[in-house]
Amino acid sequence: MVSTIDGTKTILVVEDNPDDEALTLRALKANGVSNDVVVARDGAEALDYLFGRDGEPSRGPSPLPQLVLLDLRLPKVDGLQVLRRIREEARTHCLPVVILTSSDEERDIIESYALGANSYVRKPVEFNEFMDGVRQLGLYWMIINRPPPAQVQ
Amino acid sequence: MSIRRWSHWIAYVLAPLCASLTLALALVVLGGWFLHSPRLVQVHPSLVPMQFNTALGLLGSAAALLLHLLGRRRSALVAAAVPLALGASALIETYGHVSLGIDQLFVQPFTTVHTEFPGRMSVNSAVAFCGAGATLLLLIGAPRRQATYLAVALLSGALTALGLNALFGYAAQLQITYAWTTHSQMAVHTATGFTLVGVAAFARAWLESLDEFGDSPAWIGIPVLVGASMVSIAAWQTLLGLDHAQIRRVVQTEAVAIGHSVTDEVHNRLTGLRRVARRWELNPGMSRREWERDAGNYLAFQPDVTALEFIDRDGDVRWVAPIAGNEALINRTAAHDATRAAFMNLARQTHVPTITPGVPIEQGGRGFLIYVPRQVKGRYAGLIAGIFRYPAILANVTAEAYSQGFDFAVIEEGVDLFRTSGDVPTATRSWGQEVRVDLPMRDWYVHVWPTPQELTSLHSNAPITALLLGLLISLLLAGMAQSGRMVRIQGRSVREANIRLASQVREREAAEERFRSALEAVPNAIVIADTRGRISLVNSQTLHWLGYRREDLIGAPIEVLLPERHRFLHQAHRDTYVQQPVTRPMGEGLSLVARRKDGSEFPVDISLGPLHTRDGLEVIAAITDVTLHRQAQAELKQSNSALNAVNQELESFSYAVSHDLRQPLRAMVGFGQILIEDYRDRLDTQGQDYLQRIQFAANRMGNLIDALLRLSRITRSQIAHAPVNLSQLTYEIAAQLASGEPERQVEWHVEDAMSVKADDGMLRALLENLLGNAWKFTAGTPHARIDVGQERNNGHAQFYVRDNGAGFDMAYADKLFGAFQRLHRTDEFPGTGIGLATSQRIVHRHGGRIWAEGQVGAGATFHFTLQA
Repeated sequence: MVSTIDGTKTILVVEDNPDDEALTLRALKANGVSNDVVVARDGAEALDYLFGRDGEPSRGPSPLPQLVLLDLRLPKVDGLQVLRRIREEARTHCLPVVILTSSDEERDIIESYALGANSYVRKPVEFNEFMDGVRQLGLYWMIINRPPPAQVQ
Repeated sequence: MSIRRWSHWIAYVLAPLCASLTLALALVVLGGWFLHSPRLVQVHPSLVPMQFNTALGLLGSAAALLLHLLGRRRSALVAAAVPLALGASALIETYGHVSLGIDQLFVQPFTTVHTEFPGRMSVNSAVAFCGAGATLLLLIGAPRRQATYLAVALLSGALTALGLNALFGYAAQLQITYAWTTHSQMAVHTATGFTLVGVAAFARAWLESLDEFGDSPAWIGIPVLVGASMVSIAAWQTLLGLDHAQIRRVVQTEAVAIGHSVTDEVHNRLTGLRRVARRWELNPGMSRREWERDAGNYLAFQPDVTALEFIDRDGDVRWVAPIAGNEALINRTAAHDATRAAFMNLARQTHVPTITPGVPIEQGGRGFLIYVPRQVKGRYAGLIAGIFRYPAILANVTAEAYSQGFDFAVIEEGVDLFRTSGDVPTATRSWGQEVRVDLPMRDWYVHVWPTPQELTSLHSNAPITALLLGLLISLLLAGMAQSGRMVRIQGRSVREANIRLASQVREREAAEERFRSALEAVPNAIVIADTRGRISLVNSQTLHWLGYRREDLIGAPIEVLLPERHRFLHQAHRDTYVQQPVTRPMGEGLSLVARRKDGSEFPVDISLGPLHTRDGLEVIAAITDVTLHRQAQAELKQSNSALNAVNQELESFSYAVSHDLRQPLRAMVGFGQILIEDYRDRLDTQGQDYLQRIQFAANRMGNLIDALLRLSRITRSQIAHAPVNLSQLTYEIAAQLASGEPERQVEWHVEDAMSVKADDGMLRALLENLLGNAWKFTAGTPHARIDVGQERNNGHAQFYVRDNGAGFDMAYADKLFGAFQRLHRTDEFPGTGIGLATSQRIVHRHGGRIWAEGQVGAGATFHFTLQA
């Protein structure tokens, strides 16, 4: 277990499937990625988290996560829409977003990158592969990768 | 055409015929010369012979013609030189007054007809031979031009005319036509020969000109001119002959009359003297005074008596009257000279008066005497002599002749006794006529000739008028022939133009018919309209489709064929089209509609095109009924959208498969693993094994889903052809495979520089499948080997992947490429059973073919091509 370096270094996992959510969280945890993990269960929730909910000014935007793991097939607002909003807003423009999805469709891959995804990772069926992938992701994005400066966020 | 044909035919026959006749004639005459047969040489003893050289010249001419007809040009030229040489030599001899020694070169003349130079041909013959030679040389040797034939025609025409003229002269007995000089006459058969040669040369020139230039020769007027001129000349000569005969008759008559007058004059004198003598005989004792009175009476009647002498029995002049000027005669002998003495004696002895020839007379000049004997009782008693001077007693006759316009001379034994004028003018000399004067003892001739004035007046103007008129008519006829030829030629060109025109009309009719047939044959309705939109032509299809009769539409505005709602706009479009008339579809992108007569409508396509006709611009519209087409289009659209919907669904399905089917699998595998990891101690071995099986199955299902997705993606995705280095790709995949199982030893044999045009991604997938299979199935082979190479098959690139692995039973070869078809158990060789199906799909999408050969335990070979 690695202690949290910084309270603000959260990971936003946008995942509608509880199974996948559990597996992802387990994988993160098992691989020593000890950052706070916020889970949004659909696209709308993710947007609310990032930008605050319209009409409910009391719930202002949360501090930005260091990484967003974004599924594509989501209820309400789908992943690509969420990604577009993230890139459209100046505040979240440089936010690292990794697409983590079951889809291997070319058009999904192309569109994701076109909208500014930082990485595209397909969830393998094989559990060990999945575990290894998530471990590498956490390691890379949270530790090796240098995030954009705070003022940009 | 017919004229051309018979003239052609005549010319064709005439040339050899005339040439042969000439040849025969020449040979006969030559034979005559050698055989000494005057009949052959002369025809008639009174006629001149054809000279040997003449016959030779005719032989040469005939031979030249015949050789020319036979196409022997060189020999013909040699033969043609013969008449030219003979003619020229004769002319040189005649006019150069030299002898070239050719006159009697070949034979000695034996005929009796007198000629100036025995054996020499006449001048006219010589000239004719020069002409004949020149004609033949031109005909045979000169270039075949119009000018040549014109010259030949002129020369041969002249030659023919010369010969015919001479022949005519013989027939009409006009020597002038065949004899240019007295002793140089053209023989009758020579004239015939020249005529024949001329005709033959003319006919030949005519024929050749016809052959050469395809038309009757331009000089058709010449034979007409020659022929008509010949007739004119003949008429002229006839008239001239008649005229001359008439003049001769007049002169003859006058001569006879003058002769009679002369006789009368002498007889009157004689009679007068007889009376004087008679009166004395009746009165013998007449005194001198009485006699002188009697003589005076006589002299009063005939004052032209120079003197009367009364001669006595002894021959002495006793008395003389008139006395004045004659005194010296008295008492002298009357016989001054022998002539007088002789004629006095003759008169005394015969008792018949005598007339002396011309003698000098005492009163001067010459004259003659008439002695009349006197008898008394049967006895000679002396003579009465009258002395006459010719001019004196012929004064009346002279006056009479003069009044008639004639001169005359009285000639005795070639000596002029009297002559009314001096020398006879040359012009009139030949017209002179002689008659004998009927006098006893005297042999007087009166030679009478007209005075030049009289001769002129005797000459009739008829011959020369006839000649001039005839020549004029000849010229006119020649002109007519010439213009007739032109008319004929023009007529021919008019006929030809007519024929051309007729064929053009036929062609045009055929073209029009073809045009109409084409209009009727096309499956479209064709409408032609002018720029104002008036229909000028429709085909039957139009009538059939639109339900009109033709007469309904012709002249009607084209808008009647449109629904009313479109008519106004159509007029505007029509005007626009006329501004820029090009062939194009009408109303592109619009659904055009035609309106039938009954008001119903149907969809059409219309193509427009400009027609540039003589009447100006017209527009042709080809209308196609597209009812069925439109229906089919609608149906197609419908099925297309249905297909699109299905595709859409398929797409969603694939997407769902890709995403949604895998997620539960992942959960199964993941939680199974967690179960194993976290709850191992609570599961017995059996339970753990079951969990393993569940995970294995779920993993396998994941692989299957992925493989299926790949297969469907290949079906759907676009192909981008680009050159791909197949060898390089093979190396990469081989390395990939080796790195996956580094412990394996596989021998790779990859051909270098294999290149192919294909979709890079798909080709990679294909090779991954094939090489992956080869790798997989050689896993249990001790000396694993994989060959990748290229082979040529009918010029197409064909590739193969060969391994020496497990191989397969060819009995199942057809199952290899089916989806989910496997020839091995999964635990033997893992696999989805979709790889080869995917490979085949890739190959097929590249237009290629894939097939396999194999043997269980001996490996497999996969062949594929990428472009058909």
